Parts: sequence; structure tokens; C-alpha cells
Amino acid sequence: MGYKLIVQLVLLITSFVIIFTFITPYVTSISEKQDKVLEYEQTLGKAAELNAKLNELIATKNSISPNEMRALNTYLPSRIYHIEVMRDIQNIFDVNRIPILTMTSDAEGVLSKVAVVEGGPKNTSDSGISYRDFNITFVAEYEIFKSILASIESNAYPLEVMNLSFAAQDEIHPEINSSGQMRYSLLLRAFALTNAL
Amino acid sequence: MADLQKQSSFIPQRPSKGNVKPKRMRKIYVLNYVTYVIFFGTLIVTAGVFFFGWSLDSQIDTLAKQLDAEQSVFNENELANVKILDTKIDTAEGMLNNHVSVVSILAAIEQSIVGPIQLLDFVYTRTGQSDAPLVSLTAETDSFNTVLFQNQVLAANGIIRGLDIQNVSLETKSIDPANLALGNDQFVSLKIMATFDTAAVNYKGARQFQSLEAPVDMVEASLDTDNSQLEAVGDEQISEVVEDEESVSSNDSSL
Repeated sequence: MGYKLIVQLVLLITSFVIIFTFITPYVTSISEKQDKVLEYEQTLGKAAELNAKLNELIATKNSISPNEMRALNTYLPSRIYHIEVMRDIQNIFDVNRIPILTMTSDAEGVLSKVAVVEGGPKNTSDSGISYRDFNITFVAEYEIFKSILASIESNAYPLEVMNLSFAAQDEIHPEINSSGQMRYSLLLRAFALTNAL
Repeated sequence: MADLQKQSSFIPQRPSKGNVKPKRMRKIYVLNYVTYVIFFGTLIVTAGVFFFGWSLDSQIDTLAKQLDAEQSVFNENELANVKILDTKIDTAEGMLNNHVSVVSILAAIEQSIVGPIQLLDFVYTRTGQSDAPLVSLTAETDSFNTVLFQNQVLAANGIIRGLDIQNVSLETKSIDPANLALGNDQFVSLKIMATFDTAAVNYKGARQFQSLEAPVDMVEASLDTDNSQLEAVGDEQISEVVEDEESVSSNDSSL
């Protein structure tokens, strides 16, 4: 009887020792491992999704023809070649057979990002878009002036009219008006995406 | 006699001890069973937990290998290129949407200026790429009625978002009493400030705006028809006149 009791006690103690020294910590580590597995599965799912999306985007990018890509790069170049822009403006005027009186280029600037915050819109950071303004003065008839504007609007890259002024009576050279012409002052702005990321 | 009767009875006088088996009491040690159950249960659970943990480890290894494979497939440079292209397309689209057609603004002003109004100067301003274009016009006209009518016409123009007529004043060119009495030298000067809806006057919208001019085309077409009819009538009259002249000349020659 005494022997059996000792065996039972030993078995019970062994069981409790196993439970507390092996099973309980192992179960805790198992729950950690399960969390890890879940995390891995989620990460793997996201990685697979990202790779699939990236492949899809690469396929879309590759589907863009070289001509379209060239048109996009012309429309939004990575930097403003101001001499080329001035040459193109002059070409537009030459096509319309109107001489430019003066054309100057301002210093390059950077557009700031506008975010709507409490109290109204606020400039926050660099948008990555740089610009350069071109001041042009010329004399033309009104209809020709409109065709020049139409040519500027349909240019391969945007030349945004930021300021335009003309008067029926020229105070400096009144003789201009006698020939049915007016003096126009035009401020055009060219853009480039210098920092796309 | 009584003793004989007692001796001849088959009924045992007392229970026979030799035939009755002693009742055996089985001792059940509950604690013993519980102990074994706990012990072997612990061993089974230990084995199960160990194998489950081992399978989780191998699963983690497999997942880690798969993740490594996905990472090796992932091309960071391609992602950067795609991001640049995406930003470029978005920016270009935004610029195209904000690219204002000044020609369409001029066309809208031409359509909206009615009555005897003389425009003296025109100033178009745009402060930012996403800001609405502002047009300032200085003009002269003959009366306040014209100014009021002009205000109504401009306000009815769908692409003008904000309209303000400022600096309205009545002025006189000379102080000739005769002209003053007739009101000939008087004029009203004004300044028209109009803000245009960027969406309506952008380069893409301007094309839609031009397509809205179909009724005008129809009117022009009907006018052309009228002109051709007039020309036809004119030709008939001319031919009649020519015939008359010819007949007159022939009469003259005959004379």
C-alpha cells in the first residue's frame, strides 16, 4: 500500500512538473508561433498581391507605345529648357507671321503643394513641379492674336497664359491703332516635373 | 416423540457455514486511476504539443522561404519607375484639366457683349495653376440702361462664375452747351470683373463649349440660305436690269 502511494505521488509530481516546465511555456510559444504564422501569411499575401499589382502595372507601362511616352515626356518634361521654349514660342509667332517685339524669361520657380487645412488652403511642401515664366509683347490684329492664342493652347506642352493685357488705345505708340492693330502683353508659363517621387 | 419429529425434519435448524462463499469486497482506488489518467494525459498532451509546435516551425520555415521568393521577385527599380510614370500621368492630367483656353474666354466675352459698348482695355490674370481665371474689362457705353442690360447678359453666361461691375461713372467729354443739352457727349464708364469657371473654360471643356455652338451653326446656315436666296433675287434683278439696259442700248442704237 505504501509503495503504491509513493508511485502515485511520483506520477502526480512528474505530471505537474511536465505541465509547468514544458507544456505551459510550450503552449505560450505555440500561440506566439501561431501569431507569427498569421503574420507571415498576411505578409506573404500582401507581398504576392503587391507583386501581382506591380506586374500588372509593369504590363500597363509596357503597353504604352513609345510615341505616347514621348508625347507624355514632351508634355511634362523633367526640366524646362527655356531656350527651346523661347524658340518654340517664336516659331508659333512666325507661323502666324507676327513678329515678337520683346520676349524675356524669368527665373525658374517651384510650385508648392496646396493642402486644405483648418482655416483654409495652405501651401505645405514642394509639389515637384517647377515653372518658368516668359514675357512677350507683340502687335497684331485681334483675329490674328486669337489664332496665336489658339496655337499656343494646342502646343505639344502646356504654355499657360498667366497674364494677358491689351488696350484699344496704345498710349506709347498711338499709330499702332490706326492700322487696326493692338499691342498685346502676354505672360506664358511652362512647366516641368522635376521631382516625381 | 417430539425429539424424533425434530430429528426427522429436512429443514436445517441453522444455516450451514460450509456452503456459503464469503462476499469478496473489491477496493477501487479512485486516486490511483486519476493519477494514471493525469500522468498519461500529460504525456499525450506533451507529445501533441511538441508535434504541433514542430509543425508550426516547419510551416514558418516554408512561409519564410515563400516570402524570400516573393521578395526576390519584387523589383524595387521597376516600382520606382512605375511610381514616376504614375505621378507624371496624374500631374499631366491635372495640368490638362487646369489648362485654360483663353480663346474660349474671348469667344464667351464676344458673345456676351451686347449693345453699344466700347471696350477700352482687357486684362486677363491667373494667379495659380488651379486658380480661376479673372478678366477685367474697362469699357464705355452710352447709358446706364445698357450697363444694366449688359450685367444681365453677362450674369446669364454659364461659364462666368463671379461677376462684378465696378467704377460705374457718368462722364462728359466736352462742355459744349449744345451737346450737353442733347446728352451727346455724355458717356458711362465701367469696369467689368468676371471670374470664369476653370472646368468650363479648360482646354478640354473649351472643345465641348465649341460643340455647344451647334445652334449658332444652324442659325448661320439659315442665314447662308437667306443670303443665297437674296443673292438669287439679286441676280434676277441684275439680269432684269441688264436686259433693260440692253434693250435701252439697242433702242439707242436703233435711234
